Amino acid sequence: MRSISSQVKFSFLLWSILLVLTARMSPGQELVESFDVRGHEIPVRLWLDDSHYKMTKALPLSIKRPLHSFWGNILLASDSCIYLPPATHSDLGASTWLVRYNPGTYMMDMVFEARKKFGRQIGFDGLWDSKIHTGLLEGEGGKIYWAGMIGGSYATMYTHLIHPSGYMGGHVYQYDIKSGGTISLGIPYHYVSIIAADLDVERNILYLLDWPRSEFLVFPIDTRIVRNLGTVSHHPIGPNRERLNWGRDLFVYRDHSVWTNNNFGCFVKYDPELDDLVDTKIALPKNEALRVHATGCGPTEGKVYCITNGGWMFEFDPMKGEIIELGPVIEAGAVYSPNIAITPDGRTLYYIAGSHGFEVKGGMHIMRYDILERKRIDCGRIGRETIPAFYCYGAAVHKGLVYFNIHGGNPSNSYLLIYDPQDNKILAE
Amino acid sequence: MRTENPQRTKIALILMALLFSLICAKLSIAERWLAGEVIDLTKESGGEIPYGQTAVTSMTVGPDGKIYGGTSADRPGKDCYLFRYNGAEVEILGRLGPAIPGQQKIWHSLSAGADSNLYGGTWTEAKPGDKQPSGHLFRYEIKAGKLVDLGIVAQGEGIYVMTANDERTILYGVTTPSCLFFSYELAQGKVRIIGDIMASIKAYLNPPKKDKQGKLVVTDVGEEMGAGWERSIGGAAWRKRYFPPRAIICDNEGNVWGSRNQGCFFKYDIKADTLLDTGIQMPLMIGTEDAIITEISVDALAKDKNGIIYGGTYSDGYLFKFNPADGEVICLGKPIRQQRIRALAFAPDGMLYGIGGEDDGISKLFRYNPRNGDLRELGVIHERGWTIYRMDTMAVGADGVLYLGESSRISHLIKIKAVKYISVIGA
Repeated sequence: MRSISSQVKFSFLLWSILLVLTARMSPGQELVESFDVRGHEIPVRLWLDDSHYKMTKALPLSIKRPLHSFWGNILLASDSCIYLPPATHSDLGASTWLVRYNPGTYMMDMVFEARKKFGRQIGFDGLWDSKIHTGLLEGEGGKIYWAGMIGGSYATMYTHLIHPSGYMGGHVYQYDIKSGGTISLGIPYHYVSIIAADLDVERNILYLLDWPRSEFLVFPIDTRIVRNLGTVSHHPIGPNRERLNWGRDLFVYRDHSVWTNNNFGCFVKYDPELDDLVDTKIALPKNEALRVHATGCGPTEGKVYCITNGGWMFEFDPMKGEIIELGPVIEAGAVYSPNIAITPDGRTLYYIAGSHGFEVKGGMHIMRYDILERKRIDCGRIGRETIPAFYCYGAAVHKGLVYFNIHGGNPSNSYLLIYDPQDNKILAE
Repeated sequence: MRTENPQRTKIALILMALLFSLICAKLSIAERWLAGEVIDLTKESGGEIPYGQTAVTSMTVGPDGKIYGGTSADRPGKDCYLFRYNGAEVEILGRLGPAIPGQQKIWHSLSAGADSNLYGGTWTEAKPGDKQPSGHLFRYEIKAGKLVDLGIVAQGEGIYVMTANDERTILYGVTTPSCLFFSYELAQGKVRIIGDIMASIKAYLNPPKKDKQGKLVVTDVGEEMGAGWERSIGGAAWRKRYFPPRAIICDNEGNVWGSRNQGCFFKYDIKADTLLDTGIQMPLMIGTEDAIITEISVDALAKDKNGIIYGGTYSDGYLFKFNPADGEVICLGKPIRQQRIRALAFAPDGMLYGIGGEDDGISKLFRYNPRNGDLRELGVIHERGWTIYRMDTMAVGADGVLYLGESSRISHLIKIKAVKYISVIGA
């Protein structure tokens, strides 16, 4: 009799737990507070985690863990949506996603999961892309491109090859805004990740930097005949790390040239006429590497605004080969800041100073830089009390609001931060 | 009085076990890298050798005991360079350009001559739409510091590989693309084309021909050598099914050995002055002999003090030893998982050192002990923030120091005095 009673109690307990969980997961239940964005209620807190899936309904409940982190830039696409590249940053079970936020409807949905779509099709259960470092790029016809990167503890070429299956290499993906379909364009170079990319929209050519070999790859999307033009800098590891001149970014200029940096901390130019890399003598500030850039528009048309690995800002005119140094990202000092966005009028830059544990004045600060006035304003620190911010990897400006993709916390979560410069307040975090 | 608290002791033990596990985990993720002195040729030359022209693709110990190296450029139109390492610093001896214009690669061809000079050959790839340029033999006169053009071997032929006889009075080489075997006697100063090491396979294969659509195809005449049917194998002209050897070597009798088609050796018989097709075959994966799915060639060769030749294969990365006296080949296994044995050299202590690894993989140093048969991988070289991904050549100095040549767009000369490791926590 006693054992039956225990079983009943145990069953009752189990059912109670299940009922509580089910109640918490019901779509109609309000789990988080709403935010007001210029008179519009944002109905959910924009965490891309479990609670977010529950609220949006559009996301499958089979995903059981929060989307861990961001490592690449976000994109304001031609459909006026913000696209985000979250990832797991893990060894096994790794995956990457493409998530869309529609500022018009304030809704967020997941449009693609790499491993689910491609990993299982080929029966591969080894090392898989677990980061998107390239950011998202839009080409002709509303096609969005990005590439994969390995994360977790398999951090070097050595470990990529030692693993029994090895790392197959970073995939290049194409998402079609119109059809909603995603295809893999293949792996440009096996064993290695793709750490940076930019797109020559007119010529439909992707330019890629692989990792850790730091090689420059030319990837024409139409033919997919990849060419490796060789090492441009080097990924340093070891006790005497020289991270500051290890190239982490490249950009395509309007004359179809492509720019990154070499091991001396000088610009390397890919000259499409020569079809070759040219090591220039144009030195980046402090001979550091290019980390992130934003292309000028309006009165700053033709100029490129960049931040180095060590957090020095500069303006670059590729036609003249001239660099104008704009000082450290924040008055308190140069600090790692891998994100930058330019306003549609080309007058203002927004970025978050500090990232990946490199902080100033107690945290990460939202910064505004007036290009014409050459004036930098600290808009304030992101409150650690509300956001466990650790990393900000991208920024975009849309209809007067600035969007940043941030991750942080333990365990890590990814989220979108919306900043309103008019009121100088964070609207959603 | 102090009393024992079993609960507390238990928690303390668990915490200690956790701490120990964490320490072990931390240690286990530290990677071990082979340490070496890494010398940046571009930095050392003050930028004189630009990136893209520093790949070290040929090295030898010069007649003066110093290490001489030749570089290759990543595309035609760029010059290759000669350099020397005197034990303390790299001296850039200059680009071949002024004396011999337009030379792209010094490719496994440097040799010390008995006349106290250095000899080498060049190979330049054809630009798209252009004819294949002719490679040049050259002499670097060490005392005078002067480069002398010795002319070409044959029109439209690059010098792919060279070696010298033991007396260093005769140079032997193979050209690309036609695989002509030639000699150059230092005393005579004349090139002699001895023969075509691929003559039999060329006779066997039909030349590429145009199909009905005007597309160039190669036809096959059966699975086995000899007469058979003729059919299109649907491929392009690249299916030529033979590759020049990446290394050749003189045995103690003065005969020259290297690979021909089907993974078999050719032999230049010095006494008979005849080029022979032997049936002596390198170890290889059965079914790959026709070189349709991979290059079949000998990748590196070295000779020990007793005249036994050690070699490495391109396609499978097998290490083998070969007795030229009786033709016996013994496969010693694969030092690393990848294809290719890119270079081999004996150290003064009798140890054989080698480099293995694919172009897209990662080059690893290995060591073979001929006394007890121990074949051991030694790891990947990393120093001063640089990981060496690809190496193509090596030489051993009289002092036993290993010199290795990196062959990427940005390349280094690597010096290893002793096998030592550094531990690095993953980047």
